[in-house]
Amino acid sequence: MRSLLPIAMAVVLTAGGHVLEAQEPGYHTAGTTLAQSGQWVRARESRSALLQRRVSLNLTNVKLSRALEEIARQAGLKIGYSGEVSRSPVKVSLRSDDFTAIDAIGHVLDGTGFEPFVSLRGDAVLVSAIPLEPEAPQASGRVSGTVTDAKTGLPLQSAEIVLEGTTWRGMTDAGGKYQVGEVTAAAYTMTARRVGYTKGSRSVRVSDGTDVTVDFALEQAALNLEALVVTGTADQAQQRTLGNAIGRLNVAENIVVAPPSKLQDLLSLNVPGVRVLRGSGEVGTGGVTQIRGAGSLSLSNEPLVYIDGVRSNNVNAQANQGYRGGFASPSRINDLNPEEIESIEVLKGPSAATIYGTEASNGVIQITTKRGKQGRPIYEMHSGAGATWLMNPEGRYPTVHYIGRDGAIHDYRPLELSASRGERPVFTTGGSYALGGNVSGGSERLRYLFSADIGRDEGYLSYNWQNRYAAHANLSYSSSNDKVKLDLGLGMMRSKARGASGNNTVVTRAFVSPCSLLNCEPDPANPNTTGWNGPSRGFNPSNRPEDYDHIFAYDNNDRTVFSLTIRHNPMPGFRHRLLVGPDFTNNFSSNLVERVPADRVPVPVLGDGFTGTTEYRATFLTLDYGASADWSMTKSFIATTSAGVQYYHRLSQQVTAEGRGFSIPGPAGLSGAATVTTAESYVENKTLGVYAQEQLAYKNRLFLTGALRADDNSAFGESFNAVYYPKFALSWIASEEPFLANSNLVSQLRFRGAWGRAGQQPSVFAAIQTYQTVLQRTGQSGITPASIGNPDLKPEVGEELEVGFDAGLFKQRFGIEFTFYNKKVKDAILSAPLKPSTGFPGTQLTNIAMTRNRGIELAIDGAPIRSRNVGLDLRFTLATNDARIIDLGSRPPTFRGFAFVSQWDVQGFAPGAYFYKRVVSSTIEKRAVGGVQLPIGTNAMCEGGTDLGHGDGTVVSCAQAPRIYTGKPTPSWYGSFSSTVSLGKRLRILGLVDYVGGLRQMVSDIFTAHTARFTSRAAVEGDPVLSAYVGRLLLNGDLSNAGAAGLMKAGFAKLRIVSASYDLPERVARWVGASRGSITFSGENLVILWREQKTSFGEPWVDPETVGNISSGFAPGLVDNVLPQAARFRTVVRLTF
Amino acid sequence: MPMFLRALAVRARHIGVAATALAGVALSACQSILDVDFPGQIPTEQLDDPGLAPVMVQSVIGDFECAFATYASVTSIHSDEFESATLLQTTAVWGERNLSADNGDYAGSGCALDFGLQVPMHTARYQANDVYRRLQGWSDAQVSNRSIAMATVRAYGAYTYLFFGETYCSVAFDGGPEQAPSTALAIAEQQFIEAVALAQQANATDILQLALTGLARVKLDLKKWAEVAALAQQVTAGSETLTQRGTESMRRHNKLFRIANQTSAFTVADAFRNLNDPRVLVANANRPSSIPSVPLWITTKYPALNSPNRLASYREAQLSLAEALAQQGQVVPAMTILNSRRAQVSLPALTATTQAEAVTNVIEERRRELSFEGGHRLNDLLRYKLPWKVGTSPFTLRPYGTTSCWPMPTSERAGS
Repeated sequence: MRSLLPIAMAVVLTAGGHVLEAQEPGYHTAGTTLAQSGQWVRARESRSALLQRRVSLNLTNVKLSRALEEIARQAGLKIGYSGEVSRSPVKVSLRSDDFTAIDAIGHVLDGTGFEPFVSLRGDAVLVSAIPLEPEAPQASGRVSGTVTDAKTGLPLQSAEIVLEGTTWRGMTDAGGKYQVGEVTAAAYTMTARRVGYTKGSRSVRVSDGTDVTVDFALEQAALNLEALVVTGTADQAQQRTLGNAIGRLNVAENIVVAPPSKLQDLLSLNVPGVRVLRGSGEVGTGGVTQIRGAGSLSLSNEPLVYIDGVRSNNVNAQANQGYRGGFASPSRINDLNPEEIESIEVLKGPSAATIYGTEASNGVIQITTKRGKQGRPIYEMHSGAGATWLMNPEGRYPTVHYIGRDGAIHDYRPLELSASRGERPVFTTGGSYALGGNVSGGSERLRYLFSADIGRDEGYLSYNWQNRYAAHANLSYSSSNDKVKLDLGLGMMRSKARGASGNNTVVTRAFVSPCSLLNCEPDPANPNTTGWNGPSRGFNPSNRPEDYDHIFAYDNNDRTVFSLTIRHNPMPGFRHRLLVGPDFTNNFSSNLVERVPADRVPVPVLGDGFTGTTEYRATFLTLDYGASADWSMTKSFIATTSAGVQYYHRLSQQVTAEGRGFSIPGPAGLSGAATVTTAESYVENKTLGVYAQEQLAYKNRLFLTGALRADDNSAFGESFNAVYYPKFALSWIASEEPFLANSNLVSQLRFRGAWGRAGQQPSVFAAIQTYQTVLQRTGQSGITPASIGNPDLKPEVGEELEVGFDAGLFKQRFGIEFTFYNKKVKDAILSAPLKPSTGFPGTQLTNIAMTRNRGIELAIDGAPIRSRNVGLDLRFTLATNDARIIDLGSRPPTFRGFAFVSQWDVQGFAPGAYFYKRVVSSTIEKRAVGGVQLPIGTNAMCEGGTDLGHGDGTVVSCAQAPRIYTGKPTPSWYGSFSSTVSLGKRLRILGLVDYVGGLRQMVSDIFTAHTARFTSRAAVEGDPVLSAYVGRLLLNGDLSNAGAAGLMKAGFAKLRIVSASYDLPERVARWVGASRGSITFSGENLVILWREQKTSFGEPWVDPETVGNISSGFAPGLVDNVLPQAARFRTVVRLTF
Repeated sequence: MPMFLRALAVRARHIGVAATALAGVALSACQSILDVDFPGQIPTEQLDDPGLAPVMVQSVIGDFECAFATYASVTSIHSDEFESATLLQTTAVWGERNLSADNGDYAGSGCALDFGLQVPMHTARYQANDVYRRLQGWSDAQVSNRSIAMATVRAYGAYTYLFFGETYCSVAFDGGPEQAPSTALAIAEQQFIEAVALAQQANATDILQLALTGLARVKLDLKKWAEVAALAQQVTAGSETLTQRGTESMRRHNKLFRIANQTSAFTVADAFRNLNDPRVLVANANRPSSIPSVPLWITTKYPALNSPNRLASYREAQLSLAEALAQQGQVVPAMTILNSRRAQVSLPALTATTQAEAVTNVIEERRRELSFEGGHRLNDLLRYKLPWKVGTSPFTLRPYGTTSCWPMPTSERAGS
């Protein structure tokens, strides 16, 4: 039986004293008895400066004595403690960077029965036990249970369990379990607390000799200002101290509820302001990630990605033979296995990312991998299986229309035609399989986590698949005095994929270009072997679906990420860390297009066969040193000074060899090609930056931060030495001011604001005038001008102001996060056409433009229903973006489109805005084209107005008409809405809708059907507007304006995820020897709820999400040969042993 | 001073010291720690080495040959030698006389691409001038055969000016102002003269023949008939300068072969088919062009991707001589030259009694003899204002445009 603590001096601490293992009743400190050291007052009421020193704690399940030692060490105190303290079973977990010493002592001792006292002179502190009950043997029992997340059912570690009014308390382990023994038989109120969750309370009656089980399902707090942030800060910091909105994503939690197929799928659904344009539904490909719009006109708009502090390869459209020819390509961020990730933090703009310096203007994504937790080994295993298919292909792909020899309009549907003949299905259902697990655990000093995963994803085309293998090892070490901590991570990923878009997507081409004019119709002279009865069977003659049997496109990728972080706290109030880590990418891709058999219509250019291989190697190296020191200036003011040095080295090499022309159909290699061409590239870049940051904290509720970063980069011009990025941020926790402290409405309220800059470096060779070696003459290599360079080139400077507030309302049941941002890119680099007469090819980058992205971000979280059996959690996010080019210098508008994609950079409009002549009417005439009388619009009339400006409603001849603003390729608004219903203790049902609007895409498939193949109904019937575009193309050669026929509003809302997850009853889990388990059924991309525009002149767009994954310099709004998103269903079983 | 402010001042001093120390360490290391390699990328400064002169001279020729590959094919398509046989407008525009100043291929494409013209030709011109300047700065001791090298780069550089002068509506060089094409011809004339002198000085026969033929061509453009005759007569029988072609790189392809035979986008025009003239090498490829209903006709002058193009030849010089004689009223000597060549290929002799008839015969012989070669036909259309193809393109059914000489690209006016 546990005895209650007697009235006794338990601990003595002196300002300059020693650690004492004191013996009751008399204590001596430096030769002075305790009685002589002065009178004592409660320390919580003391104004002693010693107790106001700042401490930074990261304690997990440690003994009381150790927690007190750590506080005293950091605050410059010495600690001694009695046997009662050292023997106390109480364990403490506490994480914060911003405690005063007395606050920290208070948190540690809360509920333990110990109370701190300080001498009147303020030079000694003691801890005394408080009498609770007479010391006498009493009847007792044991309380145990599990603490879980009410929304996800996942166990919560480090939740504190307290029997209110007593010293009994417990702490949950990695499995969420706790146990409190020898509890005196009585009725109690038990509470469970954890950072980031609302408090849970239960009544319990303990009887003698019995075990009582009390489980807690804690609700996530709508607002969590105590959460630690590691990104964008010089050191770990609580969210409350930051002036920026930080996007946070608990991946470990999300993948349980809705397992994603790739990492990018997770990003845009949860963080307002982050948008991933998913692009192709092809397995192995990725999309474009944009945060707060796209402000750079010529450089990448992708954010930086870090893995455990190591800058990582985030190439979003790597040149790859496996996907050659299409607009889909892999994004290297998807190499990471979501199962290995604990959480993701997102810095949305320059004001948050200042200390990341040059290259961080587009924001930063920090990925933190899972870490081992102290305790016995825990084995987790997951296994998944599912299916991938294309929803309603017959309804998606357009009907083919053609003018027959009889002059009448006929149609057919290639898919239905193929099915009616009993031919091999074009689309199939692919499988999805995953198996993996991890083991984690460790001691207080050394923790570990090892994981391994394998998986296979198949697309809805039988030849599109990806096999993945991943392994990860993390070790965390703490020295015995906690002064040194090491974190080591090693992740390896390998994948092999077969692309479906190598040398153009056969299926896409098969449908969008099935035939042209009379070629569609069987020739009466030979009706069984021509037209849609011919070899092409109604598909594109050069790209029949089964032709992919003769195209072999592979992407092999190896990725290794290593990180080592050493943290050292050599003295109280000072800490520093060193991080080093490389990220290696080795990619080998290949593509073989067999020579077309003689009986086939040849594929242009590639009909004689093609093979290509590309080897790509990239190394990203990070060295990052930072130090921070805290200092209490006054009782209320704490200053934290930080400084650091960062060094980044990026190197990528690529070698490509391509061969054309094989002697016979069938397999062939480079050595058998008639002509072989090779190419190579080598890009190296280095950045060296230093930063200093000062943060002032007033009463732990008002925080002012100032920082300055200086960078030099190997890509800067000779005339430009270094760049400086300043930052200021303010955070005010208004809810902790006395006037709001006891509000029933407002639980937490924070106002924040930040202004800062970050950069975006130019291309590596942009500043230097260079020549390159080329094969000039037979057997002779020579040189030729390559880049004219710009010695004055400097980085783009992103400057951002953001203000907003976070509020937790109604006891944290509702949360609001609101942000207004205004981001400008100054010295924006414009890829200005070079005068050809300079003798150098290409363009010249110059810092002359300015762009602006402005908008709001809103996230509302709520839990309107919380009862024992039913819970409802809602989350709504909305982000808006108004993108505009403010200044183009003295440059005229710049064309950045492609042929029929009329996109321009025009001052006053969004980057890459579409400008087309807007046809109002035309006169339909029949003209002989391709053997038929095709309706063509003549005498076309268009809207008048300002060229590359706005229309004015007047009508003029199209020949003289201006090109009028017709939309932009980037969204004006986007967000998501999710709802989680919890039924009983075990079942949770999630539905998530994401939406986007205000953007347009130029859809090549539709454009082609209307104006090149003439297979749309509007084209063959003669629409007065569409036929005008056709007429201008055919009669005037006006290709650029014909593109208007394929311009689509690309807004949509999709029911992205529907899932049901069920926690298995323990007895069921025990059947397989597990302690707990869950099963999740999820569906993805099942329903398109809304489309801003379904058709263009009646021609349907297969999927409004088919956005090309292309580099920023190319027409950003062009969609060509991109497969629609797949529907997916998955079942995942998770077991914990 | 209040304690708070004093504390701030102390802290600021500490930060300053720390930041200065960090920045000092970092920036002192900057110079070496930020050095990067540029394999495949050569900073301009590295070319200040006379030992590289042979490579530079070959590079001048290589860049010229690459630009000339496009020039030869595009001039052929734009003249009446080819017709567009594709509905793809961006390609068909070349045969439809619809060349726009905004045309991206024309203005911006590189040397390896089908229609990269403006930039490659300027690159070749810039290279020639730059290397010539470097050679001038070096000594004979530093560069062996320096005069031959200078004559070579001067001759090839002069040809780039010649092409600008012959084909463009206006010209600009090295980012300078827009000028009349005659400016280019004047520079070409001067540079050819220098090339001839240097070649004679170095006794470089091949380069001398090239320079003489080129100079005669410039004089032809400038209507300096007597000088044309004098120069053309110096070109020795059988001489010719070919451009190397190869399959190893797209830069080295024969683009007339590539564009017609491989992309099937252009077909030989009717006016060049069935002429029963062995000098006009065309054939029915017996397969469709890009428009299935249009049969593909190709020139067999270039049977492979690595077939060389002819840049200058004794036959061209003889035709220049004949034209100069005809223009000076020497009808009989002019016709003698023409008929001598026709006899070689077993064609009946032509007759002319007037100067106009003689000139017409010369132009027709040039059309045949120099067909699909180096822009001669386009030059003749422009020089003599011969009728352009008008009406509707027979295969694309689109109306012909109005392009005659080539416009200055918009990028030349608006570029940096």
